[in-house]
Amino acid sequence: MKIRHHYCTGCGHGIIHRLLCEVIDELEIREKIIAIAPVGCAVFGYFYWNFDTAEAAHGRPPAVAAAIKRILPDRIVMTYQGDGDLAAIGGNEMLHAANRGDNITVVFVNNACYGMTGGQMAPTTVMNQITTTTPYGRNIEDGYPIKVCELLKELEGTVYIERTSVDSPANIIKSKKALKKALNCQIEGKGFSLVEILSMCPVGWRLNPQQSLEWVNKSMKKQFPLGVFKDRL
Amino acid sequence: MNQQRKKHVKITAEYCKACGYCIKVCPDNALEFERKFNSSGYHPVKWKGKCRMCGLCYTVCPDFAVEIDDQETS
Ligand SMILES: Cc1ncc(C[n+]2csc(CCOP(=O)(O)OP(=O)(O)O)c2C)c(N)n1
Repeated sequence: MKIRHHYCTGCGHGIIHRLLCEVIDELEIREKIIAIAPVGCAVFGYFYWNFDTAEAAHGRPPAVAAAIKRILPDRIVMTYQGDGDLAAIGGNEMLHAANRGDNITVVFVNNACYGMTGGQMAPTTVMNQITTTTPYGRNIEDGYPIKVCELLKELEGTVYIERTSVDSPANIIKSKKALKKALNCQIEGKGFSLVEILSMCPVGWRLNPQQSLEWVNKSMKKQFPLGVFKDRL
Repeated sequence: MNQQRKKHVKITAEYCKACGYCIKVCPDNALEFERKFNSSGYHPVKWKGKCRMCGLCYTVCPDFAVEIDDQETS
């Protein structure tokens, strides 16, 4: 991949973009895939991906993906969303797309804050985390972190749900396998698949890149344990 | 002449944003920050020229700056 992107130093989006592109090449579905870009840092995904993309309003990619999949059932439809996009403003769309069991793939990049707008609290912000809107740390008045994988695995419509991270080479390779499995799930016509990837946001967290790796490992994985939550493949 | 293909680590200095992830994961200590700046104002990473070619630097690079390349030598 020979592209210079706009993501900040140490941001996980770059790694996840590369994994996605590698998986799409390996599955040879570049001509068939339609990706839906979110609103958030990855809004410019379509500048970097050399496959068909559409842009949806904030939080609406699962709804748009469901519509595209119904009109063009032989295409592979994937959404790429941040945590503010998927779990906050788009919570409704995500939940009902999963509940309908739409045959789409959701790539959910969880960086525990709203990255693009400057590091505000997201539903996935972990307890006691300092953000610009929770300067003394998130406490119970701000609610509890939403665990999207645990929530969706209870729905009948979902087929494959896994949470991975990109904080170490081993976990990056696992993420790639998970993405491949999720896209395969759709290719085989099984139904809704979601991969949640814990990602670094050094600028949003006010840490340096090395510290942000540590933070994913120590604080985020405690709230969001990694693993396969549902596999009905 | 017997032509041989030799692997080497190619770093696009202009893409590097100096996060240091590759330096952290390298088992051979084969990468370091350069003294000079690139056009974005970062100290890009430089390959010291010898390592086991494990490719971990490529795996963790978020900026598509690292490639493992085949180079023809004679
Ligand atoms: C309807 C609407 N409301 C609010 C916004 C402002 N906004 C832009 S990006 C963003 C947060 C995105 O955060 P996230 O989905 O976590 O992605 P990240 O930037 O962290 O990758 C918000 C609230 C918007 N663009 N549209």
